[in-house]
Amino acid sequence: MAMKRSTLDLWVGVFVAAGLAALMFLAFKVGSMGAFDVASSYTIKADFENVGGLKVRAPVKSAGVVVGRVSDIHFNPETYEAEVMLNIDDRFKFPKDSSVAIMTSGLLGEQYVALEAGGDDKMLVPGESLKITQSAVVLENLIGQFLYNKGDGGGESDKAAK
Amino acid sequence: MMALNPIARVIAPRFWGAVISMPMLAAMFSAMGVFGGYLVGVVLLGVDEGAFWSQMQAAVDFRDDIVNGIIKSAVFGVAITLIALFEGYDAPPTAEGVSRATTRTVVTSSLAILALDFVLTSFMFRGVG
Repeated sequence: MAMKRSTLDLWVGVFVAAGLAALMFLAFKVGSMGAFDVASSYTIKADFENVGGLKVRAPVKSAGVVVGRVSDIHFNPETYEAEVMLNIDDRFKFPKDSSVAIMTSGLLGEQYVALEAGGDDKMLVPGESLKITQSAVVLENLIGQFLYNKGDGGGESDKAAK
Repeated sequence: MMALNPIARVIAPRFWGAVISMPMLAAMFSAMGVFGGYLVGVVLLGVDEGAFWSQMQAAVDFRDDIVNGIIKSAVFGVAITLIALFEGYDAPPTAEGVSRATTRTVVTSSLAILALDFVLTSFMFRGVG
């Protein structure tokens, strides 16, 4: 009550400004709103046998540079494969025989889609699907394979092979 | 009593003040939380700054996380302000009455937040695996 009316109004203004600044910070820096989505893009499709831990909004990288984002992942009940929609920036065109693979950045990092350009003269058109895909590496399968090979290479290789 | 309308003079400004400031406080504290994470992760522990922000942006979705947080805080603001105003308005004008009203406000609003949080969460995450 001791505060003058004008001082009080000033503090209210400071409070509201701080609140709006916090919201802006959350929206742009943390939420990455408008980081990539504003640029016009086209969608291509890729079928994977296994997408592993790939998530929607994961980056699509070509030569290590982000050129797009995963916009949708769903299961196709007819082919029993995962259909992944890739939103690629309009500035980048890729040949028809480009290949995609699901890779991991770092040992425990996020998974991303690596898009490798092919040598075809014709370019991909929006909505087209990529033919050459490489699934995510599943660690359990890798370990299983390693153990199997290890057992195979041992003394009882004849029994194991049969 | 004086010929004043207590609803208009006392209740309404407090109600709107609290309802408007709740989402702002929520936004500020979320920003502070992220900044705290930045301070510990990047400054203290030496995580790469670019990696920090890219992971943060990959994990946080504007609609699902930030907008829903703001909606929740606004609903909580309405609920706890109404409870506090009712208890204050209803309190006997004695020292004991005021302290009892304060205690009841704290207890009731924490329970209300618990219940509302449950309901809002089940609405917001419907259909999200």
